[in-house]
Amino acid sequence: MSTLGPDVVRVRYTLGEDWTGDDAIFFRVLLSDRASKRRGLLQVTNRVRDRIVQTLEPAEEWGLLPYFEFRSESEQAALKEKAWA
Amino acid sequence: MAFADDLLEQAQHLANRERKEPRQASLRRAVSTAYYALFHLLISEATLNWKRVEYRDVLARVFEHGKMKSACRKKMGELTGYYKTNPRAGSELTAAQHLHRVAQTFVEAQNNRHAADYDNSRVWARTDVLAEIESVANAFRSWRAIRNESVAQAFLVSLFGGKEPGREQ
Repeated sequence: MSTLGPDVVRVRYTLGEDWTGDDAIFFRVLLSDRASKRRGLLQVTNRVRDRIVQTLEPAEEWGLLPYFEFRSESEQAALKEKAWA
Repeated sequence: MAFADDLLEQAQHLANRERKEPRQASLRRAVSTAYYALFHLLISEATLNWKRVEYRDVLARVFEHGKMKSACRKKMGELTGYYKTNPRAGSELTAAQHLHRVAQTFVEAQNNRHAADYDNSRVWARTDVLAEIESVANAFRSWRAIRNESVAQAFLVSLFGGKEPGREQ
């Protein structure tokens, strides 16, 4: 987590299957509100995605296709989804 | 403006349709539309190679989502293997990185599209939707940077679901 930088508040994940039935890992990445601003969002999400994939290599190590969801702290505060807590 | 670009613009419009408290319907349609923007970009690029213009739309109907995903996944695996050979910086590596971004974005956008269209349990936040749209826009730029490269053209052929040219086993 610490290697992902201050833009990332926390990461949760779930193992499952994607729509075609391939084994997958679904990462839920909670971003700071500052990092979630549209300007720079692509840079942040690419960096997080690349760092996690390069570190864990889910496809190579476990045959899991990685998928990512992003939301901001304030969005989670409003939605209050347990899976993101 | 090409159809794929129109779809991408429409996705952005839908994602920002409500200034506050975006409706799930708007966000879901934005996600789905962003995927179809990339889907149609790649298909239109592939069918451009068909000499007889009047048959390009017919040819476009041959593409299947699942086969395109499989081709993208295979390409991602190949490129990951290529990176592990520590290739020298240069045009070949740059093209590989662009193509990897296109394939990765396609796979992720396709799964999001399926969730957006069929999974009512998933709640979408605007950040997630904007992130996907930005990724697709970035994939557009990556594609346009490499569209004339052989590796990109071979990738287009692989989207049909057969073997990629030059990769007989």
